[in-house]
Amino acid sequence: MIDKNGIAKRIAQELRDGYYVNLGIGIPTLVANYIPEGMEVILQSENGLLGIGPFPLAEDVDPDLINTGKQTVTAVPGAAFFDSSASFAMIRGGHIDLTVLGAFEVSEKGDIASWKVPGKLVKGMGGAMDLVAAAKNIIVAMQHTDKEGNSKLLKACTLPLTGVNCVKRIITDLAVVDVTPQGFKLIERAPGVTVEEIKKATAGTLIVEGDIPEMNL
Amino acid sequence: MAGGVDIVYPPENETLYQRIRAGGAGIPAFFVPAGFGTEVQGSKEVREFNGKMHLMEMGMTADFAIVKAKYGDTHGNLIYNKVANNFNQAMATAGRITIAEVEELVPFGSLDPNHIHTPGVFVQRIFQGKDYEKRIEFVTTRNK
Repeated sequence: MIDKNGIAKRIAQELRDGYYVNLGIGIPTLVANYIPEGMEVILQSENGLLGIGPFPLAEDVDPDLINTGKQTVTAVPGAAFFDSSASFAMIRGGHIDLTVLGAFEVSEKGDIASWKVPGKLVKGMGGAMDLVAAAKNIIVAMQHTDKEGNSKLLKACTLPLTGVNCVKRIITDLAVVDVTPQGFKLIERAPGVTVEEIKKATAGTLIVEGDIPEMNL
Repeated sequence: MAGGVDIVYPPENETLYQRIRAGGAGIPAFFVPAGFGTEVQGSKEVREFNGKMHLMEMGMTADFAIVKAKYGDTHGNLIYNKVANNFNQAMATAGRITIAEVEELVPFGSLDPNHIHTPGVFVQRIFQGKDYEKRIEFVTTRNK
């Protein structure tokens, strides 16, 4: 299997030159570390910045320049600042080419639960509901199973939903899985992982057709 | 505050902001796709547009809007700094009385009209703050 950097590396293979990309908190932010040399990708921070740069030098830390994860960042030359409305016009209006976010659960119908664990995690949902409802290209980055070994790719989500019918591709530490009208479809295996292991870790319907290639990392 | 304050947090985030923007702009209701099929749908009206389900959301205003900007002039024109704009811009339009705290209060006429985020018509009270302690949740840096 691969670790979270491996997942981020594989997701970075979905990037194209000139893409505008929104990266969620957690594993998705690591994708920024694997943007191919020479490829221009502009990162959008939904709290009001288009053109997120690397972390600042210690002397350049600015409390008014943070990302959605509340970490201090910089703005690249050519960046733009704006309010939340413009930010979600970019997202809801279909102007962002790729959105990567984490999740607790994804169902075989493409439903996603990513914001609330009743009794444990009950903060707001941030912009997640808007992202999943309207963004045009969504990839979920997550572990295939939870800490107890339970599958996170389910027939139906058990946790409160962020959105319905909206996830198209999931990239985990074990596999690349697409959501189709017939259920989950296995696209790639993580290096060293067998189809059997992936089947065991997937509670939802998993279609396996032909030889399943390994991720090329 | 004596007597206490009840705080109600509607679950939405960006939809909440659009409700406030609509309220300040005199738009009573609008439709968005966010939240359809989730617990925030509740009993909201649902309509299909372009083959996709949307929820009807209502515009929202308040008695008071409290905002913070970097620069403000004595007529209430405001300029926000970097990502500290965020929700301030729409909030400033939606209070019956908008109170603006600014880091620098400048004379009317000294802000560039091209750079004003909130025109002063939306703001009823303004004052300059002091002793700012800008706490950062996660200081993340890179090495030289």
